[in-house]
Amino acid sequence: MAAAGDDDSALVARCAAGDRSAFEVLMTRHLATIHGLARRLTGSAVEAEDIAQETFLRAWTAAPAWRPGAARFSTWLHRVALNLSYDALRGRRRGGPIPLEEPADERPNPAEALEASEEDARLGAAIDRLPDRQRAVILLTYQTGLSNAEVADTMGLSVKAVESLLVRARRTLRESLTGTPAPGAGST
Amino acid sequence: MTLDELETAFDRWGSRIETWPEDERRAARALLASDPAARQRLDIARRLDGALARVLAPPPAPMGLAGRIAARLPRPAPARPRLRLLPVLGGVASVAASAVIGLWLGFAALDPPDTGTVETTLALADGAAYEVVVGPVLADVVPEDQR
Repeated sequence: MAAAGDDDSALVARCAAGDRSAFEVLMTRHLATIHGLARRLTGSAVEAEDIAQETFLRAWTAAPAWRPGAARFSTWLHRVALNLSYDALRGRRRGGPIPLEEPADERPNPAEALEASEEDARLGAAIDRLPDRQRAVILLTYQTGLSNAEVADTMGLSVKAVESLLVRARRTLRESLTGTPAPGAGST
Repeated sequence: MTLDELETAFDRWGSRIETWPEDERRAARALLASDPAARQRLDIARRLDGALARVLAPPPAPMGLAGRIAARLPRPAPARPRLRLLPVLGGVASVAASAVIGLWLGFAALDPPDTGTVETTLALADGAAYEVVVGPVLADVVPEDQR
């Protein structure tokens, strides 16, 4: 997905001219990732779909103002989805306890779910328990395939801050994976 | 580089050492070559990366979602913004024209000046006689028997 980012500018320019077929190509490239990101961040299939819709509608509306070279379009897209997901989480927390739905690693295909190993299920639950920003850096790194610098750009953080979040998140997840605290736990 | 530093580097940059900064990459390779415990940490880091990539592989978007988004797309804005001014300018012109006509009619309704009034009598088909008073602006039609 991220590899297609450099080719997005021409499509965005066509969107600005009202070309819906170019927009459909952009959705083909990024919709699953954007939806998956929102799904994991919010833990809600309904909210994830709303966020994906809003993200792409904003992309269509913003296309005429898009300046090639300012940032990668995919980075902008993920930033919008990330912020909308945070808004959804904040809204829920203001309204009371977070109504956790079914586990966020629910797969649409039951056969796939059956194949998921106990290890994967344990890791998926650990991801869902991570603090929001740690979960976001893990998702952007593994689900979206962004580099640390791109994650920093997407989240509006320094690379150092992103790496600090990654260190804490990976340490927690490693402990979940192996079932034991990491030997180096405690530093950083 | 110590074992703890190696592990922190795995957490910071992942298990693909070839993507690390040059200095850290060189130090890590030296440690891995000499310390079995370091290689054990590398195995765990690779296992974690693999599991995360597997667990977080994005599932396909819900069926029909792309179509639902496409159906909600607003029409693009007109390419020539000057065209959008025409209705506004037309409205302004209408208001201005109405104001001019209103003023013209208002002044005309006042007593006409002595000059310029023409009186004549018309005989119409029904035999009634009417005197037509033609002012500079308006014509008043007054039946003769009512004068």
